[in-house]
Amino acid sequence: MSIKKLTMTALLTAAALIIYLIEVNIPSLTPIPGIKLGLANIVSIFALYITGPYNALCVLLARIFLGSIFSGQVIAMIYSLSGGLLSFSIIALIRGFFKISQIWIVSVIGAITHNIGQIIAAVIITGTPEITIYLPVLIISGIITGAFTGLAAQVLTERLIKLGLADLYVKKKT
Amino acid sequence: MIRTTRFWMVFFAVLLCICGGASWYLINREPGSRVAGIYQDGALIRRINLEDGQAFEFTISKDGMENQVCVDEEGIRIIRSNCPDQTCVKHGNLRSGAPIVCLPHHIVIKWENETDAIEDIDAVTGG
Repeated sequence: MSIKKLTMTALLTAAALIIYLIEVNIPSLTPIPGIKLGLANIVSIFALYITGPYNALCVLLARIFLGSIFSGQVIAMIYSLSGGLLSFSIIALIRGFFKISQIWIVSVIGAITHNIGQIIAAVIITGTPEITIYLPVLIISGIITGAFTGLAAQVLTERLIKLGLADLYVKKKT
Repeated sequence: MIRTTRFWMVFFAVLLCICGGASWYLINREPGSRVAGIYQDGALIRRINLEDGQAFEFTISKDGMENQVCVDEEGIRIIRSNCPDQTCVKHGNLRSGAPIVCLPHHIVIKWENETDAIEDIDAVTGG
């Protein structure tokens, strides 16, 4: 790992952590468990495109671990982890099929799989399959929030490529 | 075809409609009974028959995780919790098919099936 890539990864982790901690403090708008804006996913997706899957996974795991410790929600970490890892593996796999101008599609798919992963974890942990009642609502919220966070990541990536600053990983691919 | 943006836009729009319909149906579905079951970690803690019209409060506590449950003529709800997200408190009364969930504390309050409710009616008393 080059110094430049390492620095970028560290910077992105810090940014993801700050966004995550701010988001935790925004009260949730709905009484439905698991609905969140997922703003930190902007950084996850951006990291995937700019630094590659290995570094992006580091950013994601560091953000989940440190984020749950800093926000005092360690008991809720299992939900973030299950959703985060399922979603990450899916988007890392399908990423190659989409253009930079379609990052938002990858993001929506990621958000939906994130919510599915969370529901699976919740069903296993609470032992009540009735929770799956919330799955359609969570898919709707995943499509909406995923599209917005994805668009943000997409605009960011496009601008950086245009400025010639995204030469860590993207250049090899395109 | 699968790589075009238009395909995915249509796909997401269809998915939105299906999920909208499904959630409207599932959440507005009438409960099968008036017996609520409280579960933690998948184990039944208590069954409460809301037809009884009793009003009382009690606290579910486990390893420092506390949820105060209130039962009265309006229904059953969690009125206080020391969990970080407070989603269970914001849920309010258990009305429709949607269970009250406290994810950090692994607590679920849901309507019981009619058969379960009759079978275990003894667990209902003792408020």
